[in-house]
Amino acid sequence: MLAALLLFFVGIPVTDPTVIAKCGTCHKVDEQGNMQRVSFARATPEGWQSLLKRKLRSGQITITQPEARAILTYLSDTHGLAPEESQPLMYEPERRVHDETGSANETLLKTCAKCHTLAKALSWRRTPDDWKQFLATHYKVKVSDDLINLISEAAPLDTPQWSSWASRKKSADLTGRWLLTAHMQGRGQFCGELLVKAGTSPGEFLTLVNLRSINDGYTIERSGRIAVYAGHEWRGHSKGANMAGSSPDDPDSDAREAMWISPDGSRMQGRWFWGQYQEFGFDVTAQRASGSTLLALNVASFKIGSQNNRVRLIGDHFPAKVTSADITAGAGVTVRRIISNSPSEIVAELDVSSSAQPGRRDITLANSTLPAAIAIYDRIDYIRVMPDSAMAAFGNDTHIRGFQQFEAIAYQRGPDNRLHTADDLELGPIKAVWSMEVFYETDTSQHDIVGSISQTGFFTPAAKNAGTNYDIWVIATANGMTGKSYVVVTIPTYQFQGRTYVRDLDRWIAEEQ
Amino acid sequence: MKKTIIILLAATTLALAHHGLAAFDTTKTVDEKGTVVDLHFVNPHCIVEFESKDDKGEVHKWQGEMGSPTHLKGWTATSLEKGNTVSVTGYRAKNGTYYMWITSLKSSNGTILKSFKGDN
Repeated sequence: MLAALLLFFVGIPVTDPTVIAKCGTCHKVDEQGNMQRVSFARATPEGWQSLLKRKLRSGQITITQPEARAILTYLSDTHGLAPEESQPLMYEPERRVHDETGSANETLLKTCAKCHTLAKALSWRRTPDDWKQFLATHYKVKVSDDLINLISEAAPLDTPQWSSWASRKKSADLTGRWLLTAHMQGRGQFCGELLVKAGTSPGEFLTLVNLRSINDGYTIERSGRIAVYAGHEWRGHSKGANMAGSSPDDPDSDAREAMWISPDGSRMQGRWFWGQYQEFGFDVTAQRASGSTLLALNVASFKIGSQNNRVRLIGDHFPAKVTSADITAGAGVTVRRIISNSPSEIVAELDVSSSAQPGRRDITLANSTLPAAIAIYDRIDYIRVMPDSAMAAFGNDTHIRGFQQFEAIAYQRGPDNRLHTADDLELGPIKAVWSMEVFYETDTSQHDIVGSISQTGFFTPAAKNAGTNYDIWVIATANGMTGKSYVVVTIPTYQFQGRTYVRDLDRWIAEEQ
Repeated sequence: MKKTIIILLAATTLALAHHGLAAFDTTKTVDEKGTVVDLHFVNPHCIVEFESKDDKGEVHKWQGEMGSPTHLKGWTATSLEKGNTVSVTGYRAKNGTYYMWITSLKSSNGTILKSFKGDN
């Protein structure tokens, strides 16, 4: 059956001379230009990069850094993923903890996600025969025809998305001015601009970023160097203009960047991150600057019946003259007056009718709309600590501590009148008093051994490695209610069967010396 | 530092079944009946908080640990809600605190957990 299927697969010819020279010594090229294995697989930049690293480490290939970069670029561009294929997998390059439960066939989850994210597996697309050869290298996987069929259907080489993208993609021209919004857990929303200039070679760009915190006005300048693969995969590094301080979550820290660019090249979204296991970062969205644009508000919710609510509308190229009639805020919400306005900020006062219904409202100024920008509510029903489960880690001589920032978010129950259901209304961050509890404790004497939680919701593991795991609650109290996050504070490394394992996001991985 | 082969503490998500039952007295079970305060449907363990009166009428706040959301097949974040009455059986913490590993649970809303020993 598999052999029969294989006959119908046409590979992707390899034409790059560097790839042919360096990879072709082992992988034969046939008369159609198909290179053994390589022509029958596609992958994200991370997929090809990890393959190249493995080949380098095992001595199967000898290449210079420029050659490695050229091979990575060529394979990611011509044997890459379409935007529609890569978007659901972005949590892998963005280094996010992601609950994959229910996201795929249970067999695939059990087979692949036991040892790594499912996205890592699905970031490759192969023919059935290539999946068979690939799986044969996984000594822990019991390979069967059913499994090969399953993964070949989930991640096939030939897809309509790739066929379409391969024929229409072009070198992304990202140069110009972009408008940015960025959210950093614990620090709130930032707005600003991203200037992109062409780099030294096609697909490479230089960036300059200005961000300003909506909460406290803190400003960040960053510069970076970016590569764009397959016309939509933004990967790079950036650093702050100011030297990062000793605080591990300093937003001026050097960061890696991974973003997904929309097929039409008008929007980007992704994450800029740093930390022992990339626990800090900005969730970023960017849109091309074009005319008057609303970017963000400084408040997330208003109470029904409240008057004179002051709100700042942050954006770009706002009109010189703005009246209250120019802004609409949805049913039951009226703009009482404009207090001030500038090209990048409008301060207004809003009234919420006592007969307004709870729910989200769009905010519109001229042709620019912020969808679901504010929540209208009549009570806070519960608060939730985000993330609602997390890991932090003690450090040792070779591994820095892993920290965790928490936020308390207020909610009102939705129309179903039940808590913790999908229709609940998120009201935004709420100021809370923070505390912690260690599981099974009889008093608080273990707190110093485990760590501490600050009144900004920042958990710091104890400086001394406790040598064992602790389970704790991080607790936020506000408005007489509490929310909890289940946190495992874990050791930095452990030994098992002669190998050292280190923490990586939500799992342990073997450390290479 | 280079990293290669990935082994896990976690399965599909955060640290599934990441600790053993060493903290609990598994030589005998305890039975409690109480009122649900909250359900935390999270990794690495789902936890139900409930209040239960002892023989003297004193109210104690219990924390009952279970498997991960993946293990509690059919359960959701609303399988137990505040105010539900629950009858639980489990292993109590050895140090006498009001923690238990729940082996079975029956709720007034129909939710049940049968003979769950965990796979720690």
